[in-house]
Amino acid sequence: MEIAPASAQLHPSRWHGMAWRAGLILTALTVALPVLVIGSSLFTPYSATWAHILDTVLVDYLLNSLALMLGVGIGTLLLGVVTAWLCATCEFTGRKFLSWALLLPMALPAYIIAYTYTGMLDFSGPVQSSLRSWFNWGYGDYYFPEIRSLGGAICMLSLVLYPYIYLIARVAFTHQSGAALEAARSLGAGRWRTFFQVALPMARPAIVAGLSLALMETLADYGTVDYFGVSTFTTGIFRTWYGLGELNTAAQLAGFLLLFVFILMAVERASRNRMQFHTTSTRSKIRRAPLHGPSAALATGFCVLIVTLGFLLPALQLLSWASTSWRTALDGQFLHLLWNSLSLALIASLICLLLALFLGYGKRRYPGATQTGAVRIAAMGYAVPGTVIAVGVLIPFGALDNQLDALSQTLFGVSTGLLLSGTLVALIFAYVVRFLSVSLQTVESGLSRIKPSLDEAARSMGSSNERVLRDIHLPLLRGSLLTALLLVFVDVLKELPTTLILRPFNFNTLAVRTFELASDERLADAALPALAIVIIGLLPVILLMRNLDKGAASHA
Amino acid sequence: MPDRLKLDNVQVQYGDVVAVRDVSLSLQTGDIGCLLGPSGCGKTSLLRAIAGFETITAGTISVENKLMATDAVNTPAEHRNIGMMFQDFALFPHLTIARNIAFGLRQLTSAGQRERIRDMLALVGLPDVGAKFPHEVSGGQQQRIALARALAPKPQLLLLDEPFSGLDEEQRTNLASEIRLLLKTQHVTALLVTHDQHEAFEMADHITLMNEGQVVQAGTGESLYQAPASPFAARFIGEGSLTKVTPSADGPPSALQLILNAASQLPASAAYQVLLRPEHLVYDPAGVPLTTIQRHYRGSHYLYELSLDDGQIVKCIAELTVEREPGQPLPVRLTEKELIVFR
Repeated sequence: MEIAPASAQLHPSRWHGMAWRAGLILTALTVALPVLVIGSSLFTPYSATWAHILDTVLVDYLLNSLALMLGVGIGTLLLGVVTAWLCATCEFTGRKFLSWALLLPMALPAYIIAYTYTGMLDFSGPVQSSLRSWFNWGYGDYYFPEIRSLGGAICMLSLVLYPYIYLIARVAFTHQSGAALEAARSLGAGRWRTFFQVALPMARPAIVAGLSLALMETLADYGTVDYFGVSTFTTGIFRTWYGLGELNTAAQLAGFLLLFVFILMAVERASRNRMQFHTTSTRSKIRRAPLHGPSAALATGFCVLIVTLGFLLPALQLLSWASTSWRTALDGQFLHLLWNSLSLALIASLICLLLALFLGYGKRRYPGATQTGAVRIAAMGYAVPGTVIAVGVLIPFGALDNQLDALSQTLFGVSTGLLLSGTLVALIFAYVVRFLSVSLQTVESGLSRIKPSLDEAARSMGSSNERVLRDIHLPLLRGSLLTALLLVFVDVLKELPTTLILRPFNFNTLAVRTFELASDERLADAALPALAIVIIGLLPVILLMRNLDKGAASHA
Repeated sequence: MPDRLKLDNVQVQYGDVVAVRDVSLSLQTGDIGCLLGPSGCGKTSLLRAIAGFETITAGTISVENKLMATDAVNTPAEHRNIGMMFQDFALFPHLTIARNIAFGLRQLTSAGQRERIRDMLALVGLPDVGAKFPHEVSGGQQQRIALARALAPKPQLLLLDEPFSGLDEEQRTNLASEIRLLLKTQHVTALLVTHDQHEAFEMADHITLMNEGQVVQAGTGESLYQAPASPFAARFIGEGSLTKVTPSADGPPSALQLILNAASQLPASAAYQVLLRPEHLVYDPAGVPLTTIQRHYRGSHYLYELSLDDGQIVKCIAELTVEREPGQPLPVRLTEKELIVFR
């Protein structure tokens, strides 16, 4: 893989190697710190509150979290696999447009769609009001399902999380060897048997990988379940910390949540490893079968319905709210929110990018088991819920603050107070822990496309290391770097629970303000910051669409 | 006895593009046919139309006198009982090799399936791989398994799409003759698609040469090589050079004319093309000297590229004792009297 160092360089590069390796390990350990803290909290003494938690709420947390995962799992599978199959293998009216549009719900954070639907579906909302006026019903004359329930949360999360499965399953279906499907048919299998016995099993590793990502997001969700009053692990962690003030107990709850996450991570990794056996040659492209008549109408209708429910309706509702409230909402405070959010996101994404570059290059230049392990540990954050990371940051930062304070009291007789926790430093650190994997993945995939032979070719033509970096790597990496920056930027902007827990006193962001206003039932006032998040959230979705398109073109 | 496969004036169209035009051919039971041609000549489209993966816009396809496809009727691939072996083998990666072979055997009992799987694996010489997954065996083995899978349901006709292109050179020629033997002993009627004439010669009883969607010539390999009916066939089959002969103006005869003097029955005056294959020219110290352009070492002999007066290149086989460097003259003589001529 990597260029062996020339023998003349052996000594200096050995020192370099050791320095890089030490740097990688140190970075990985720092990034892993919150997770380590949470994990080790499981082995600390359990407070008296635990008996209470065990008796009362833990079963609820467990059952609700499991029911949520089961429901969202089924929901996202249904929506994701069916839309992916339709868009990858069938031809129907609007397929091209819809296969883009189906990604749009990704731009909506779950808590925003949740409160939008609540506004649309509650008693005074447009849906029930029209029903009453059409049928002349009064209060209590009819049954209307309560959106603020476990079922409602499952629907909301499924509507915004199915694109994880859609995206990866569509690629799997598209790149499935068309010949394998034709082989099945030439062996006498009809369309349905071909789908269930060949296409679906071949795409299964991809689908499972997408599913575990969607379920990780489900476990990480705080905004939706809290707003809907569904007690899960994340709301439990909040309640234990804010309600009971028991940080260690919160950390232990987070530790149990982490166990769930690790199971999902193991499943996801195993599926990804199997994917390489399941991708066959792309020489024979799948041919989209044209649908006609009712089946074509059904396919178009189904996809349109999902895009409407998952994006169009909530976006229109937000727009209509914002159009009534923007005059009062668009004030100095809003600009301040915007500035807070944007600057925070920019700083965090820049730090993530730099660290990702450092880790990516370290692994590339000095490959080895230790380095690979370090990078893998640093990339673990994507799976860990923001709530867990936030608690995992609070504990060591608080301890460090206390130490510093004590030290300064004894040395100078001055109290330093809280230097780190409760400041932006802690918040940004938590963001980096959570989102480093996003930039790392992008940077690594960019680096992997720069074959070592390119370096060697440039070196053999007399280029220095620096020139190789500047003239070969930088131009080739530019797209990946921008992508990495953008993805983290938007993720930070949308992140709710981490910000809620770690933000400095009176420091607000768009996400926090949206959530607070919505929680106070000021839905219309929440629309403007929500809309800002959605619009910025559209950027990576557009990027994704463009990449998909390019991929499709190069495979045509 | 009816033809096993019969195509009448088959046409395949993608939008406005006609990929296959007016192709008729037939295959007797037990015969191995081949569609040969450069890429884009329509041979694969035709094969896929026979398999049922493309619809035809005109003509008919029938198997054992049963109509499979016309411009109006299209029997689905799964109901045709036509086996197909794919270019990338298309083995199902999530099924073991035994379950791959069993995929087309639903009508058999499980005991019957087991027996057929055992027979098929023995037939392709891989009796012990049934429990493995496709990615656990080599490319050559995957190909045999693909063949076993396609043959297991006893199809009326076996189609092979570029069956050897996924393999390296060395495996290719061995496998081609091996598979031919296997198909022959099993009395399988097969149609092969390839762009490689050596594969076609090795495998097929009948070759249908295609170009731009049409049949150019059909016949045995020997007849195609020895009697190409068109300049395209002459250029495509073998390593010959189609050499232009222009009527001599006054003055001394050209080197080409001196060489061709040994041939019989050449047109008298008008311009024409003559097919010169490498074996038609040999080294002869008393022959007509031509300039050496390049010498290719072929192990048992040299292949020389020689230049005529007007810059046209002809090829010539010479023994290893005849060594000339580029630029040096090599005297040659014509060995074949009956040359192929195109006006």
